[in-house]
Parts: sequence; C-alpha cells; structure tokens
Amino acid sequence: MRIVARPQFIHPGHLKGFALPDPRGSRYDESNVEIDLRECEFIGPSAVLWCIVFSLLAKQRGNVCTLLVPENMGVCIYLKSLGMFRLLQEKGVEVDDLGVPEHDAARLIIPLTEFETEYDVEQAANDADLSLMSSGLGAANIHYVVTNAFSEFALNAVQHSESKIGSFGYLQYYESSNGPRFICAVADGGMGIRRSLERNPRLRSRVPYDWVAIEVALQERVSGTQEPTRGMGLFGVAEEVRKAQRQLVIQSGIGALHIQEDLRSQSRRTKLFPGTLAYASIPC
Amino acid sequence: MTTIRIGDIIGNRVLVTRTSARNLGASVTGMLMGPTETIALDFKGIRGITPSFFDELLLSMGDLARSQGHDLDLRIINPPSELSSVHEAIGRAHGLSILESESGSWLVGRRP
Repeated sequence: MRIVARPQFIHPGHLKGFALPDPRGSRYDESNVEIDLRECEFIGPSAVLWCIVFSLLAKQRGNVCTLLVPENMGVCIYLKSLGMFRLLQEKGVEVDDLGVPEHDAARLIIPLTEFETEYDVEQAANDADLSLMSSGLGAANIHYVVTNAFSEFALNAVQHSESKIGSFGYLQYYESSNGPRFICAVADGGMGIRRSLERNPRLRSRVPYDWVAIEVALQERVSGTQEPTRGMGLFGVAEEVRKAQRQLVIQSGIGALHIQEDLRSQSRRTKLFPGTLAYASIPC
Repeated sequence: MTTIRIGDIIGNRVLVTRTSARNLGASVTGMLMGPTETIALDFKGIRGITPSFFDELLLSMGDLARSQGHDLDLRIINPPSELSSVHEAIGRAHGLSILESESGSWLVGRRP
C-alpha cells in the first residue's frame, strides 16, 4: 500500500485517496506500507505526527514500512532536525535520508520525545520550562500556558490511550506569517477519544461519532473514568486557547475539532488519525 | 497556621501529575506537628501546576482536614499563576470556594 501526501500536507485530510485502513483494527491486512512525502513542500505538526503514528502502528503489525522523504531539501532538513527520521529509523522504519544535513532548522524547545509514563511527562514538562526560560523567547506567563498545554496533552496520552506504540510529542518555536508562536503537539496510537469516553456508561450514548466525542471531551468534568473530580485537563486547555489568537486542534479517529478565538469551535469529519493528536499554537 | 514551603519538599518546578500531588499531601501530613486548622502552602519558586495536579492536591488536603475532624482551610501563597475559571471549577467539584486575597494568595475553603 502506498499513501501519498499532497504538496501542502497539513493534516491527514491532505492525503490522496478516499479512505485509509486502520492499522489498529482486526481487518487490517496490509503487509507493506509506503508513506510517500516526495511531493511535499510543507508539512504541519499534525501531518508529522500522523506519519510517525501510522508508520509505527504498521510496523507493530509486522509490515515492512518505508517513509519516502520529500524531494524539497528544506522540508527534509526541517523533518530531520525535528528528530523524525532518527526516531523512525530507530523503530525499524526505512527512511533514506542520504545527503540531508544536520541543521537546527526546527528551533526546538523539546525535541520529538517518547512518553510512556506520567514520570516521563513530568520530566519533559520541567525540561520544557528550563528550555523556555533559557531561550529568551516569549514572556513567563506564556511559558506557563505552553508548558501546561504540553503537559495535559501528554498526560492524557499516557493515562487514557493504551497506545501500543507509546506517545510522542515536541515543542517548538515557529515564526509563522501570523508572527512568532510556540507549537506544542502530542500524539498516540491508542484507542481514541470516543472509545475512551465509552468506557464511562453515562457517556456512551452521548458520543456516537469521533467528532462529537472530541467536543464532549472538552467539557468540564468529562472523563472516561467514573471518578467525579476527573476531566479538567483538556477543559482547562480549551479555556486557555479561546483567547489571544491561540489555536487548538484535536484529531481522533475520523473526527477533528478546531478552536480559536474568533472561530470558537468547529468540528468536522476527516481522514483517519489512528489514535489521538492534540496540537496547540500559542503566540509568544 | 502552619506554613510549608513546597520548594523544600519537591525538586521539580513544574508540577504535573496526580502522583506528585499525592506525594506532596503525604509529605505535608508527615510535617505537621499536630492538629492544625489552617495550612498554608507556599509555592514560591514553583513555575507551574497542571489542573490534574491541583485537583489531586485539593483531594489530598481535604482528606487530611477531614482526618483531623474539620473542613479544609487552605491558603496557597505565591501561586504560580493567576486564579482562573479552571481553578475555580476544580474547587467547585470539591465543594470548595477559592478566593484571591489582595496579596495574591488563594484562600480555599468550604463553600458557604
């Protein structure tokens, strides 16, 4: 199977073709997977993490898995500096990065990191805080918002996803056309938000689709656990991003939700993210 | 009132997990010399706490107060952020109100 990305690969919806097989599912019967990024001129955080999660899930199913790197050298250098090629190679995915130089193109606060436990998350949050302080980028009150979002995304991934491939995330300074921003992105290859909420019998009838489940998960005191005080983390992040030109994107299964100050909240159906991705963009 | 400096107990400066909050609660319990109505936790030097940490901290400190036969009366000195609607919502779920004093401390207690 070859999965081909469009030149502007911002999220899985920009993959060519109608639908994607789910490498977590029992009906998945592929033996070889090629993810073809050769035409890519731009790759967004959601797309980067989709490539990692899909590749590793396919690998975990015993597939021979190959990532065809972009022909655009700038995009290649960016992905290499992010740590994407190294991580995939270490996990057994074939990535031919011949001639792609090492270069600090991604301006990373926290490089692509794997989380397995809450301890890993707390360690990464403290590393992020130290790195933000020493970077001289952004104000202290923004550091708090960034670290908090990163921590909550990663905590949700390690606590609720039951991902067989672990969870991954990074934190980056990025000069976009809208000005300098911090980007934090975390993803897992686990059961997804809908399945997690369905574990709570009181929520089962409220989450018929992935895109509905994401909306419900952002409400106060909603959790797949039945503990009455849980379910504040994502709600808190969602409250924080509804101001000051911040953005939050969550993708889980075939659902996606986008929140920003002027848009408020918009959910939609999209192509499969086999797990959950959370991504925040916060002006410095 | 007994005042305890969090920075003397915990090495991290960003407090994320429920486990960290439970460990902090256990340390505070061990440091109290006897029953005390009001506990002040000084967060000087702490640069961040997540909602999950704060939620578990209130649970832990509430258990401590109940074990001493009274309602929770907690002061949070030098909080690492401004009091937000999220903190207030976390307090509400525990039946607690959180007020910000003129000095910036948070006063946490049973809702009237």
